[in-house]
Amino acid sequence: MERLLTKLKSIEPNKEFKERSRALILNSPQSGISIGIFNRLLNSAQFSAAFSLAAIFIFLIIGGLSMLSQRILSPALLSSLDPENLTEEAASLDFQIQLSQAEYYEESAEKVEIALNETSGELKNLENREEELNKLLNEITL
Amino acid sequence: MLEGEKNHIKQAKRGNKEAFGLLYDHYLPKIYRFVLLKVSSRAEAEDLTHEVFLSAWQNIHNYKDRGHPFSSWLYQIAKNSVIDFYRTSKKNLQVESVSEEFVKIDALHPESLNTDLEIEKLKRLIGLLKPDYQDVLIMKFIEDLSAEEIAANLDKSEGAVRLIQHRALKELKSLYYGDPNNNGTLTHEA
Repeated sequence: MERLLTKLKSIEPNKEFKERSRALILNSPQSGISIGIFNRLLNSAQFSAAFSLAAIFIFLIIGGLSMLSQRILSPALLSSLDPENLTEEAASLDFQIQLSQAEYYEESAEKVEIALNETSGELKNLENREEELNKLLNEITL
Repeated sequence: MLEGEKNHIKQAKRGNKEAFGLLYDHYLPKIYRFVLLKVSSRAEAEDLTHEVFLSAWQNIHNYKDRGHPFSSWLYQIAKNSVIDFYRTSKKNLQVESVSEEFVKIDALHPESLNTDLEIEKLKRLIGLLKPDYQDVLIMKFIEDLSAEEIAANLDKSEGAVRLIQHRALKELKSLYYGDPNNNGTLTHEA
């Protein structure tokens, strides 16, 4: 049976068919190559997009969002962090404090003076009364 | 295996027609025989073989060397083409009408008449076997592939290939030498 089967090796394609088919195949466009290149480009673009998105998400997660909001939404807050501005602000605060203290001392001095005058007036009255009392006591005893 | 085959495949993948032409010349007879023994006429075999190599040329950029021979890729395309052929045309391989055309053409040479008749009878009987039996017998005895190569082509183990070969030969012998259980009028759908 094996010997009989090997006789099937004698089957050969027709020479005319072989030449015609070969020419048709090799003259047909191998469109797969351009599709392959396009697919490669598409794949690389997809990879880049995925990588970029991942990077953006990581940036947002680690606090980029809060930093961006500070930079974009509140520039005043950012400027307040400038050391020179802070020093100027501190100096002006001291000056304002000194002025307010001076005003306070001026106002309080006047009040104290009035209070002292009143007190001294009362003391004089008391002295006068004491003298009157002494006179009266002397008159009684004599 | 064709000498320098890997290089030819590499060149063909880049669109080199000459390189693919060499692969075509080497594998055309094998694929043609494989297809012819599964269909009923030379015309159908030629059409399908042409489709196989056209598909191979247009898709060779997708071919990846996974350690299997290049022929296994071609045989796989050929197998799928034959399956599609029978699926779309709904054709049954009628044993009684197989390859009359085949005999008529070769009968033009009287000296080869006996051989042609034997070939025709074998072809008809192989068509009665299961597809796996057909594949193993064709690859083993007609294409002289080793059990390892057949296993790679059919995605089976070597042990399974040897078992199929044994059973296929036994069944073919019983058909050829006459078995009361096989009257030669079976109809096989590939």
